[in-house]
Amino acid sequence: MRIESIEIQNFRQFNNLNITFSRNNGNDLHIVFANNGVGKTNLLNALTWCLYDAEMHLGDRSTAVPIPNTQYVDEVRKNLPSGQNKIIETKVKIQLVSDNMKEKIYFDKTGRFNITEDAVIPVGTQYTIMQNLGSGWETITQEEEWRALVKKFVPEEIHEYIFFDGEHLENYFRSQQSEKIKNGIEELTQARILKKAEDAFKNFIDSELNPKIASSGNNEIIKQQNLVEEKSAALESSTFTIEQYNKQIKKCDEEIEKLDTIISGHTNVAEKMDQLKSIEEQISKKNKLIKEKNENIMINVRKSYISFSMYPSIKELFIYIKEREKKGKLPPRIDKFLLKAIEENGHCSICDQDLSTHSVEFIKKLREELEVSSETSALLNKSSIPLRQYLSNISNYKTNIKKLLKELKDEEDELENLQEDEVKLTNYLMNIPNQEEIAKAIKERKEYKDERDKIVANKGIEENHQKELAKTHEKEKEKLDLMMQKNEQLEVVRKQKEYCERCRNIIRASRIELLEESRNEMQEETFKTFQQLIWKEDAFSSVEILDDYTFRLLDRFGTQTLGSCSAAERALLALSFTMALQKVSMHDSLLFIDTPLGRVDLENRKNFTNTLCEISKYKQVILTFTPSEYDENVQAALSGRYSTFNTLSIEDNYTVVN
Amino acid sequence: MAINKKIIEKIKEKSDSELMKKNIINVLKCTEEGRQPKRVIRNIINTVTKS
Repeated sequence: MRIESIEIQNFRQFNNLNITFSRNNGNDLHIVFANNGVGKTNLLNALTWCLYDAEMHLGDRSTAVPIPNTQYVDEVRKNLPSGQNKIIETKVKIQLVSDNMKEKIYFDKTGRFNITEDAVIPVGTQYTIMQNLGSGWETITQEEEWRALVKKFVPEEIHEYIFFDGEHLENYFRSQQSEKIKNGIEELTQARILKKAEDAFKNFIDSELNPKIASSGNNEIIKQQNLVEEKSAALESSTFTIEQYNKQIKKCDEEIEKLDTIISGHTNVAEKMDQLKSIEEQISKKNKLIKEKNENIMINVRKSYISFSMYPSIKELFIYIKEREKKGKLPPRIDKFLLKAIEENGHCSICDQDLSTHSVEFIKKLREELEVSSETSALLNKSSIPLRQYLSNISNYKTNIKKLLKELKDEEDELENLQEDEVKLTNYLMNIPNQEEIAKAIKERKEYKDERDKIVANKGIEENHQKELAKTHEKEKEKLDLMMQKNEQLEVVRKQKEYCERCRNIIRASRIELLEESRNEMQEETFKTFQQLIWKEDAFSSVEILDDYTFRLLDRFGTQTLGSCSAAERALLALSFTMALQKVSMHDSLLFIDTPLGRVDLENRKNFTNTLCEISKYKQVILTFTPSEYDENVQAALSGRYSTFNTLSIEDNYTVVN
Repeated sequence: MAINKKIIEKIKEKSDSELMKKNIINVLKCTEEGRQPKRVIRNIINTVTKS
């Protein structure tokens, strides 16, 4: 299907615009060239407004001005008598033609708007659809019929695979796109129709046949039927749970993929950050310890200083005591308490003899004389012990202080090593941009990974549970079937149910097979087209479309490389996928791409343009360009290869074709 | 849009009879055209049961 012509009246920038896209040479390639703001994207909007009743390429629908041309609306208002209004019309006419030129369809949509002094109010639309199958034009009056025609040639569900803008192409395979890819494949392969038919059989069983069984009056069968329904509901619930788990896993994968693009190449940043943190803590502790050791040494030095100042006199005193003691010049140490006891008892406990009065008097006198000399002797003896200790401490000072200094030196050496490591790590991390963001991303990635593992484990449990449920369900169904076989009254219902279930199973099996085959074909076809179009040789090895429709482009080492592709390569892959989808589904459509090179770097523009020219050999390609895109290289690549070239410009505030 | 040839092939391959194939395709056509296939299914099973 291709667009033969488009005619636009009073739609946004356009007052009266006609463009014909006739094929004049080997390439069905058509260029629309215009400055920004002239109306390239609104050309797309006019197309989708006419075909799908919506402007699908508006920047922001909520803040967009009404469809009728504002200049025209102003002119109408100027001539409007006060308090009056006027109905105006907006028209878009499109002529589509099938590739074999045998079928032509003409869409004419008129939008009617009420212009008042301060508002533009839509008041209705009118369609004129005509079809020409070779024997002249026929008007199609039934809405259902012409809607079917739109669906046949340019289905709304897959408009994203026909009408593109540059940004859409670049973001085609970004996260959350897999749902759209899935929708596209399901729509184009007609798997959705199969699903609807499958559901229709199920609904019929539930709403028409099961109630007949329930009202049979046979309690045993009713009971068994309820049991089967119960198992069936549990099975459905389990399927739903598994689907939810799949969605959650997919969500985790998407998040992990996003984080991977931040982390890429810096997987050990978090580890290094942790190391740095640990080293910083160790340095802090070490500094504290060194300070304490220094203080300890200072205390020792201070203490020793006092000791040293007293050392001569202490040493002299100690020597004096020791010398006196050695020479026996210290008074004898007589136990005065023993003497007192002998005196009081009048009996010598040493020689065990009673003492005379004279002897007692002598001992009393001796005891009084000894009082003074013995105290001095005891005091001197007592002092000698701490004095020795004091002198010993002084003599050990050197060893102690040496030991303390050694400990301090060891700590300082360790501190120095830690500081060296800190400098190395800091330098390493300083050379990595956004290290905090990377570390955060690594942490978040781990959380998502753990969460994913948990979900996968739960999914496994649920899958086993589902298998058990399916077995029980089947068993109970067989029981019910046997019971119904024995009941003549329900024989017809049983057969009807059996037939419906058989049909449903056939449709389901066909749908699963179809999707699986389409997915495989899509993979191969996309890669085949991509390889034909890509200018880099042997850079990529395959395309994979996973069960959940996640898209993977593998490089020659088998690594996913989609995230690191250039904008041009991504856009090219999107085009390859679109063409593969159209080919596999046998639904061939044109490609209309608004500003295809906007995000393609200068180096790849020529290659990309050549690719589009190649595609236009077997498919209509309509491209809109801005002057900045349409550079010398692009001009050279397109020279003589397009069928039509239309320049849009503004004259008297209206967009016109030159 | 007609029903995809691949789908018709698959249905044919799996159906127990030509009639079953036709019946399923009728339901698919009805669904594809956006109509409710309930009535079609009712007719199908009534016919099948009678035969």
